[in-house]
Amino acid sequence: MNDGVVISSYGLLRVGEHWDKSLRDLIAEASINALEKVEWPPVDKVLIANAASEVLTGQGNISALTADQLGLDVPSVRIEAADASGGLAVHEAYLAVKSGVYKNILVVGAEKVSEHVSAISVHRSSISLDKDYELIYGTPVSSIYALLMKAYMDKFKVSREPFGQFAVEMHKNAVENPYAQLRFPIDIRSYMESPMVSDPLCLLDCSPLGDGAAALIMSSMEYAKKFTDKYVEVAASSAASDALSIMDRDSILEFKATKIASEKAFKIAGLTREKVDFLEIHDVYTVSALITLEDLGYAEKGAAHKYVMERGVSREGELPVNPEGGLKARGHPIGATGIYQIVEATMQLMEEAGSLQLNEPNVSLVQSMGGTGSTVIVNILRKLF
Amino acid sequence: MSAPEIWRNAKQRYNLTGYRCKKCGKTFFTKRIVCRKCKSKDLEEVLLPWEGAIETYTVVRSPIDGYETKVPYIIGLIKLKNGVRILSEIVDCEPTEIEKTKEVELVFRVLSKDKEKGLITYGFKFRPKT
Repeated sequence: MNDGVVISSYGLLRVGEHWDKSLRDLIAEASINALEKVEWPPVDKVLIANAASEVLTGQGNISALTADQLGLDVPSVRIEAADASGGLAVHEAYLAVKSGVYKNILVVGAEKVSEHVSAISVHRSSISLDKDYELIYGTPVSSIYALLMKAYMDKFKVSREPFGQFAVEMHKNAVENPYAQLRFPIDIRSYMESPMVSDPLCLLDCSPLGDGAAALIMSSMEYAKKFTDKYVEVAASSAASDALSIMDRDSILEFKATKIASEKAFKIAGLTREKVDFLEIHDVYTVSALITLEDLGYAEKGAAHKYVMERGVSREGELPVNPEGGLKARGHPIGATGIYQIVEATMQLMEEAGSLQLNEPNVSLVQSMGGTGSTVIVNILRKLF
Repeated sequence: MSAPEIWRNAKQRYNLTGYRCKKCGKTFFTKRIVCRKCKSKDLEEVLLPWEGAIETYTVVRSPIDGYETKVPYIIGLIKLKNGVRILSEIVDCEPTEIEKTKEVELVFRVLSKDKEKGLITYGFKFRPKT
């Protein structure tokens, strides 16, 4: 067994509508970007995270496509767990390196969503829900999160404002992020006035789907030393599952898989919550971010709204959340999103985040969620150099 | 929706049948071969109560493909009388009235029409209790 698993390089594209790029271009550009930074060290495995290429582009067999585009003959594996595909690919790479069988893995996440008008892409990406029991009633993913938001607001007597405040903070962060999809600020008034998508969830509660690709090189520490002296340790990687549909959950006011995965991750890393300098969380809708702050143990149950309004989540605060703008404003290239989160945390820890740079962070917790909480991965990254 | 799929799910969608674990007593609406709770394979098909209360709901204004003409429509998470939670469209009720509606009952309706094959899927929905 190998001792340390590290991230030794990264690459990413701006999230958005890349009319001029196909899925293969996205995969190749992000991968080459990551490989070139460290002068193409030999990789012995490829993992491609993608949620829905079959229904969004018509292309299957993208594990082969990925290896082919890079001229590689090593094993290539596609990882699919809806929005959590990227987080799960990092988890699988961690295990593969940890086992000692592989030493240097290219992990790339890519999603091409702009081949269709947004309504079609939103529909097709709703395959992450339960087809027999949810989609049969014409439920986009937004409507399921709206059910959770309404339940949360009713149970804890919360207004829409804290949800809006979270969105405002995410947009503020994304303004200076060159890789973000929505680089404009919003205020609480524009949030309150934005059209309802699925009451009480409005347009500015939603993350935008976008084309995107991001890549990582994950290596054994020993191997990484051969080609770089700057790397970030994956101190823990933990994943958990929950029922596919919210119908079968014990509680709809929490994501149990986040609780299980994070408790385990803290134990593996030998760290407490307080040691974490910033969070990367899955704010696919603002409600998922608020519930996640509770599930991770940073806010009491039913108190995340107070946390957002009083303690705050900004880059200047005690515990910055999604300093690059999160899914909400950086954008949500479904299967690639989890890789973006890890890339962004890595950039912060390597102090390569430009004007978004936090003050010498050492530890980041990254949470990726698939579907409506059916898969959760928690990765903890730590600065080593 | 394909013909085999409609046929396979007809019983659940027409009668609201679910699965009860004979060992631990847990009842599920979603199809199970093994109990999610105690892992027993001793499950029996049971008829679920046709009445319940809305636990949470939403008014869909941005629909998925094929539901554009129905907008706005109401989706509710319902707790049936025996505690089993199911998701359903709520019908015969305006979005403006839904806040007052808590008690609901089952009603038999068209769920969808397949655009290409013309097949109609029928099944349950819920409406405010009459």
